[in-house]
Amino acid sequence: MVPILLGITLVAFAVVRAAPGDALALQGEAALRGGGATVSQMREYRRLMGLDDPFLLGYARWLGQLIRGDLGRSFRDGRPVLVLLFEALPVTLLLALPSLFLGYLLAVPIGIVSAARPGGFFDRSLSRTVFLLYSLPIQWVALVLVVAAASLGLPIYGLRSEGTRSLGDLLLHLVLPIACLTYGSLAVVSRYLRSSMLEAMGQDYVRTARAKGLSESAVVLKHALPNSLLSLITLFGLTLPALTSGAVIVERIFGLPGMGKLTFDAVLGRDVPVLMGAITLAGALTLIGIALSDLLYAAADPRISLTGRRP
Amino acid sequence: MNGAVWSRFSRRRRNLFGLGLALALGVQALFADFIAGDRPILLHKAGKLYLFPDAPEVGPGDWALWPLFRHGPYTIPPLAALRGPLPQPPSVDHPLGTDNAGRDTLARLLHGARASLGVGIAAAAVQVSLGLALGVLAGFLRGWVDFAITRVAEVLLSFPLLLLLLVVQGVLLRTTLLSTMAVIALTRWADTSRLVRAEALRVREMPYVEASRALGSSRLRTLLRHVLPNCLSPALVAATFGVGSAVLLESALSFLGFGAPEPTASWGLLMADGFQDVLDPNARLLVLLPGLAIFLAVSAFNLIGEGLRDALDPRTQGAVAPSAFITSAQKRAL
Repeated sequence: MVPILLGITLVAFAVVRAAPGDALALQGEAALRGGGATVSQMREYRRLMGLDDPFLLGYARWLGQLIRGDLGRSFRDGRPVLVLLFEALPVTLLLALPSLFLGYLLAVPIGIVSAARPGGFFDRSLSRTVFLLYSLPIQWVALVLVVAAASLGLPIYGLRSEGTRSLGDLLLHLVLPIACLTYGSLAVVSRYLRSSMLEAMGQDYVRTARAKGLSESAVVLKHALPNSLLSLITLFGLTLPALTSGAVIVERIFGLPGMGKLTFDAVLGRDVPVLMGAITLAGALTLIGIALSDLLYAAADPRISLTGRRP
Repeated sequence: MNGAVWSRFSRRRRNLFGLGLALALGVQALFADFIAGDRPILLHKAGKLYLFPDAPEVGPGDWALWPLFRHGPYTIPPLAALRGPLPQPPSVDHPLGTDNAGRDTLARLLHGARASLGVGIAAAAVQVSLGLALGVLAGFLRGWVDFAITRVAEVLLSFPLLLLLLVVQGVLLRTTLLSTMAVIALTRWADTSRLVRAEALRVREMPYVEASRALGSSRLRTLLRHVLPNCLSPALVAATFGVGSAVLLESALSFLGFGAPEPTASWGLLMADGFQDVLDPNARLLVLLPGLAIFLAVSAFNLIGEGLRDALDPRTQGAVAPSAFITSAQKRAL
């Protein structure tokens, strides 16, 4: 796990450091803005990226600063990167967690209905819908939602309307982005669940359950479903980090100040400290997601044990 | 592809539908200049024939063969010729309206197929070749080669995809279609290599590989003659799915301004143009149509991919390879 985090940051470090003409471009931009920060910014950048050192030494130095909790300051406004990250993360979580929850909530009945009668009317129409959802670009869905919502009077931009701080207003602003993020995970999860349900339906224990005279609903709900839910845990571990690392497109279209927007703005403004910080956090979240799904697995499935002892 | 695979593939109507749709889109992309453009296809001037001349002045006694539809994707009309505010609604002159620079939406859509499908197909080809080579090597050689390739693939797969693409495109001084294609291919090969590696691990234990070794052929010969050809089917399936996901990625990058450079006609960039005027009813078609075009292309290649997977491996009839989903899950969520 830690090697993966090291790998992710190493790749990011290498890419950012290999940027052609970065230092020069930065100097030029800063001079254009007329701020006197050029020299100190340059020094900050050289310090952060270890540009005066060879590549690996520079990376080691950057890691050392990371461990000490020093992610540097944003080039844009001079604020500490750590503060920026912790301002953006809650917004992203506010989008990611409900959409993840909703996605699973809707996907489970869809998966059950499809797998209960494979090839039947529901299965065919649902899998067709899911296939369609699957091939739609997310920015298109978001734009269509914006057009539709604008005519309904729903808010389409930002987190809050001006002047109000009510919860209802915040929720109204979240409806569209969450809908947008949900449809993607819904398509993935329901299809995944369907295929693992179908696999479970072919197992011996399902035949046994049928043979002992259980009703079909009991077979599906009590025997096939719990076993196929296990495989969803893996998916959960993989979708969580992807959602939290920032739904770049959704946050951009709906103007939400989350991780995605932070990263996008950092790329746009070549704000290296923020960029490295965001990537590191995304990498860390990926690992937390994987660890979380491992733990859930061990909790849900007695055949798997983290300590290596078999019950 | 041999006859048995084709007959299994063509048994399903939707596979053929996907194939036909993909071919139609491909032909449309190739011949975009013949369908929409402001240059004549052929110009006969002073006894000479010109193909797509730049300054088409047709004098007396000359003739020209014009495209079906006489607007180019990059033609910005002079201000004096404009009637009404931009973007213009659909009219006889512009059947699908214009964007806010006055460029014709239909022409840009038709030419956009080139950039989008071009990047998609090229990226898929490169990523699958890379993934195939590395995956076979990792699976066949095992040892430290396998270790190194698998670790790199693991890092690439756990990197939030769009973030990685954005960062790489962001550090370049300017992005081009070629760089877009390259970053997609260089980050997505891990997907293929994992599938191919698993296949190679299976194949290397097969009796025919042992027989080849026993007959004294070199490791290279065994690898090229026996292992590689038998690992082709997962790569072929990954390639068709790869086109769809590369088209989606290109459109996402272009939409964010880090893909196709302005003023290239690309479906993603067209959507970004639509986003600028998203609440203007005149731009409604500009918002809707590029996304539908992407949808058509992606579902065409996904249909082919599903059909190919079932046709190449009858054992997995209707089953879904989880690996195909995990990366798509990550891609989707971004």
